[in-house]
Parts: sequence; structure tokens; C-alpha cells
Amino acid sequence: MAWLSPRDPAARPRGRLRRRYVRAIVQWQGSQPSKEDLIEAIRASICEAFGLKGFADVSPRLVSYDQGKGVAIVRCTHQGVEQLCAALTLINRVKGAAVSVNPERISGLMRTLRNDESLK
Amino acid sequence: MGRREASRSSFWRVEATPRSAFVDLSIKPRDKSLIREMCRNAITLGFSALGLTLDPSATPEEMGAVKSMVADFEPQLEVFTRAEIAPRKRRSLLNMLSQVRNRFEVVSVRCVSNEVALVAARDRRVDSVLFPCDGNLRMSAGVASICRNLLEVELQPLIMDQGERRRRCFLLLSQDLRMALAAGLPVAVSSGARDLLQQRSPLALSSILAALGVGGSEAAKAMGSLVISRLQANRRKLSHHYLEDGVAVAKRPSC
Repeated sequence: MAWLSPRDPAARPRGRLRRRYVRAIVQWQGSQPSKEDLIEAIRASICEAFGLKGFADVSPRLVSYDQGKGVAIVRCTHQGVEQLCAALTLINRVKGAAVSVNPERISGLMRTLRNDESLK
Repeated sequence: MGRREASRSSFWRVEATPRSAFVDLSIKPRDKSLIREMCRNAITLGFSALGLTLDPSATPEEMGAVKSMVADFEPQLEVFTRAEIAPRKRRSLLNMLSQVRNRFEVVSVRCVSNEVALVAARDRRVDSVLFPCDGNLRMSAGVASICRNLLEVELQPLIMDQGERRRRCFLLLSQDLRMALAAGLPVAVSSGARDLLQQRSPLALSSILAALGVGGSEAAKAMGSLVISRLQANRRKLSHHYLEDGVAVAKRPSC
């Protein structure tokens, strides 16, 4: 049962993907972007900045979008977190409306981002 | 409160700025009504100091009015004044520097000709040099080798442009940064935001720098310690205690 030992990184189970969650503040002018529009904007931004290979490396997924507070949580691979933050930063329009998406915090657990005091 | 009093009192607050403080070196609000909103937004995004770019020809009264507008954001947000000049000739650069240096806390030079870039890179009165994305002039090896000031990277064109213009801007900025890092130059980053939606968080700015090829520690310094130390030195020089490098008035005799 050597693979159960947390001290041995080589013995870590092979199939497990390490992920990161990025909390971003969404601000807009005019019409508020819907969840579908935001997903499309994130995909387009990653593809424009890093290409299809980059998109596959990042594997983004919008896991939560609170339209009332303007807070989105996006999941990605742990190697692709910087690329995701850069791509979110480069979003300036969603369906013709001016929008800014500011990555605010990165965590390995969604619970941490949801329980963060700064959101309440 | 006079200008000197204001600069001296805020100087001590900057000394107490925590090490993890983030600074946005430059915002350029489209009109004065946006200044307060942009300061509030900067606090929300996590900045503790903000450079407000003003017209280099602004009078002391105008600067005082702007300072009083943002005074109530302290100590959460330290707002400092910044001038950006874009002369075409060496002589006009030297004239402009002599006019703005004693009035603004940070002075940046937008290099539009090689003649100006070579002088601005060496001049001690300049805090940062920046190379506009829409110009033809880039940071050359010659300028990088003699430069003793910060290379400022303004991310507003990269964030707001689209398509081919954005790709060109990305390419030019990454070439400039590669040249600067190879020469060991310090780098500073600014959003250059004109309105609320162009402002970006510290994490956003550092991730763009990472995409441009700057390492994590350099990116953190570009928004933090490098700019703060430069700002502290400038405020020390603007205070009426300052005489010259390493010499200051400790106590004045009472009359």
C-alpha cells in the first residue's frame, strides 16, 4: 500500500487531475452577460490568446456564476491557471456590451472560494 | 493644507505600507467625475496605491483640487500624482522635465523618438520610460544597456484592442520585455485605464505579465516593491526636509 503514502509523490495515483478554481469579478455596462454568453467569451478569449492547444491544456469550465453579485468561478487544470487568468483579463466585450472580468483569487477548493469572507 | 505639508504627511503613511501592497502605476480617467469611482473600484480590486495621471500643465490649484477629491480614501488607498510627457526632441524633453519634476510624484516619458529614448533612459529625473504600442520605436539593445529607469508596461492597449492590433501589441510588448529582462532592467506595470471597465486586478495584471514572459517574482515586484521604493524616494525628495541624497534636515530651530 505504498501508493497511499502522501509523502511519496511518485506513488500518487496516475489518473487524478489536479485542478484549480479561479474566482473572478464580472463588471458590465448596459446589458448583463448571461451564463452562456460568458462561457462563449471565455472560450473565445483562450482560443485567441493561446490557440486550440492552449484551450485543451486549460480545460476551462464555468462552475458557478452569481449574476446578482457579478461573481464567477471557473475551473481549470493546475498548469493552465495562469493562462486562464490572462484570458479572463483580456475579455473586454460580450455580445457587443462592454465587460470586464477580473480574476480575484485562486484556490484548489471551491469551498474556500465560496466561504471566503470577502464575498459576504 | 499646503502641497509640502500634504506630501510630508502621506510620505510617512507610504513608509508603513505592507510588503504585499499592490500599486497601479497609472490610471487616466476620461473626465474628473470618474476619479472617485475609479479609486473606489481600485480598493475593491485590491490595490493599496494608485497613480493618477494628470495633465503636465496642471496648476497647483487644480492638483490640490484633485488631491482633496481623493483624500477621504486614505489610508485604504494612497493616491499619488503622475505626469506623462511625450516630447519629440531632446531639448523639449529637458525643458518639460524641469517643469514637472518638482510638482509630480512620478514622472514618465513616452518615447516617440530614439533621441528622446536615449536621454530619458539615462536621466535621473525620469522614473519610468514607456514605448507606445502604436509607435514604431521599440526598446533597443542600446537603450536597454544605458537605461537606469523603470521600463513601464501599459496594458490598456493590449486589453482594449482587438484582432490584429492586439496581436501586434502582444508581440511588441513581449519583445520589449525580453530585451529589458536580458539587460537586467526593472519593470513596472500599469493598467492605463480610462474608465471603470478598463481597470484590472493585481492578479490580472500579473497573469498578463506572465503571458508576456515575465517570471512570477518579477511580476510581483513590478506592481509592488519596485514602485513603492521609487515612490518613497520621490516623496522624500519633494519634502522640505530634503537637501540632497543622504542629507536631510533633522530638526529646524524654532524662532
